[in-house]
Amino acid sequence: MRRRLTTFYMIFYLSSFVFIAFQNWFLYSPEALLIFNATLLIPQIAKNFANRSRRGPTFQLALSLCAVQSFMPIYLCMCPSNFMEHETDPITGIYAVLVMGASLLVLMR
Amino acid sequence: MILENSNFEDSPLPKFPSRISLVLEPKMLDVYMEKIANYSFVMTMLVMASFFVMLGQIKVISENHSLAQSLSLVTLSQNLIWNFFFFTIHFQLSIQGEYLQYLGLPAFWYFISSFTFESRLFILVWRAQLSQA
Repeated sequence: MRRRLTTFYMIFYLSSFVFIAFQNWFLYSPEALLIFNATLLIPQIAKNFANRSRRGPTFQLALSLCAVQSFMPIYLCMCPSNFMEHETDPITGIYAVLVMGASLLVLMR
Repeated sequence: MILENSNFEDSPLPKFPSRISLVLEPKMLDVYMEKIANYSFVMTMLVMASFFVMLGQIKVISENHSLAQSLSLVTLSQNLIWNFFFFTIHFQLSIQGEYLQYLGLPAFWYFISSFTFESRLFILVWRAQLSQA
């Protein structure tokens, strides 16, 4: 247990370091938003499918995880008067919202 | 910023601009501060709402191991990493930006969220799945 926990913390800090080192790409790139951010619930759907089970997180938990994780990138993509004065990309934002909504629907069906 | 080239177009020497004009657009500071304050308020409310949901889920999971075994560790760890990333982004902006001090508030809540609630949820789910294996 302790060894596995150490491995987990190493992976966690390494991933966080990579995210921070390439923060501009992870925060502003449409590919990063669609591949790494909007696909939050896909592993849960895959696990449910593998277990042939409908048990999983509650709708409130899934929604709050999605909202907390994707609010800032979607705000930067879709709000034309955002405080960082970042150029908006509404199409990417709409795709991200659609992917998240679809995965929520599949998870809660 | 507008750069005008020098008149010596045919010269083999490196070209330097002959004149640099800066066009300064006046910005309303109170409008800018209002945007930051509104963003910080919405972000704080969102993270605090997620606290209550996570607390409820932690309570349910600590009593129901089969529910803990049904949660995906990859989803939880991905969310943990993103929240830590957003904590660092907000923290950096609040320190570096001249008028971005309000972003310290969402940074603080993201920090609490990732290192208190989500890590607790993750460890509970992990323990349940280890005992299953």
